[in-house]
Amino acid sequence: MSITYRRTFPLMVTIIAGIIPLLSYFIKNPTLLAGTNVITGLASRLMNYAFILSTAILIISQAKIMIKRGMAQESIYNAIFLVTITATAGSGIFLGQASAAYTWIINHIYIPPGQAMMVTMLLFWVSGYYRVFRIKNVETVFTTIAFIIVVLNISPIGQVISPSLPLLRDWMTTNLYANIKRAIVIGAAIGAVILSIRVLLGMERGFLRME
Amino acid sequence: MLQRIPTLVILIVLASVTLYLLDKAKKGMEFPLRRLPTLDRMEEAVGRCAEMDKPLIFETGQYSTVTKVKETPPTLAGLSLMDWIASIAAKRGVKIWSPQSNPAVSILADEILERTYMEAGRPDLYDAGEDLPFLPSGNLWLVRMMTFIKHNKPAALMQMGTTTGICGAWCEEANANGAITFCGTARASSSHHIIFWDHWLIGEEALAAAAYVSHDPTMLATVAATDIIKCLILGLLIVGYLLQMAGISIVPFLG
Repeated sequence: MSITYRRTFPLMVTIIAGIIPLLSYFIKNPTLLAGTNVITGLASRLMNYAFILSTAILIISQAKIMIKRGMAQESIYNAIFLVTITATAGSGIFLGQASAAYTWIINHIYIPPGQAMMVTMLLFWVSGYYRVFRIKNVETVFTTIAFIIVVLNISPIGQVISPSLPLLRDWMTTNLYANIKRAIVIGAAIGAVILSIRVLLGMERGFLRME
Repeated sequence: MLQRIPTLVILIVLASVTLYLLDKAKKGMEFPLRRLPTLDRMEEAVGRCAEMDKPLIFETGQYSTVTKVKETPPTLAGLSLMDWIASIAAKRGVKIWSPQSNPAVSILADEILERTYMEAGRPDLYDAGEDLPFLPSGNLWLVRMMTFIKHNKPAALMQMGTTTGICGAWCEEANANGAITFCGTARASSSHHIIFWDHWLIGEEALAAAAYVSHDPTMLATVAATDIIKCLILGLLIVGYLLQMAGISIVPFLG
């Protein structure tokens, strides 16, 4: 039972759930199409159940941490979390997503800190770019030169320095960036197909923890 | 229907090359592959965590999922790599935290960590739920990751799966806290974000990494198949380029 449960059953589900949509893509057959719809519908429902389960685990774990910490100062964060998730979920479930309470929570509590966080993230990006563009080797020389050309091009001063800067930027975008990106896409697409073949053949099993 | 014939032909060629090399591998043919330096650094990073007595954070990215066409392969590849890292970490007594933004991936990651630590006889290093936070993707996850890294001060941060721009923020946070950072992504749209990270796997490297580390000849055969197919596509590109120069377009035949 254990081996069937752990190895054979997940592999059978993976193979069936992979083969039927693949066949229905190439063969127009009502049975295959119905099978594909059942599989995608089932996957969607399973995701919803997983979401509920994970949220329940999250709430229970936060409550456990709060009880363990007792009256410690850090408990306030767990308490705030539990109150906000209960209030948001409660207002959404019982009053509806169009209710004034739910809308107020989203507009006045959820969105403003989120936007503030996105702005703060830019500071981390600047810090990251500063670290990245320190010239340490040949690669970073090229990266920094490309960065300077692009930044100068989008700055007013760039037009003053040289009118040919936009041409250089355009050449970099259309010839270097686009082609490199295409090369990555082709490589990743081949890799994804081969990985899918490995999954369908039951070779890629690390994510099922079978070894 | 006819428009899908070129796709079917390409798929048959891909599958044929892969199956042929798999057959060869089963008959004893070896496929020597260049070792990816990032994988060696990842192994060393686990040792660093053990020496510093600090945890390791392994996550699969903001958009990791198992139900979307583009994001599923990198997510599964990331989880397979996590399985490898977890087995090394369990032997060396290193604790892994795996915060996830997707509930299904969170459950898979939880399963991998639980079984790995149990099999290694180190259940003390695994705390179900309590240390494996799940939070929905978005700003909430960004805040949680930042605080998580700040409080736990990991010696290594590994993100193998779907890298995005916001991941650069907690990479920077981890770097500020002295962690060595690793990134693996097959998402071309966000591939430039890897520059924030110390070591990376990009494109098909990220997808093939689990096969590299498995040392299984049949898995290595599939990596070799990827290289052969790349050569075939390169040949097709050159032929297409020459035909285009001669005034013959092959685009209509590709669907």
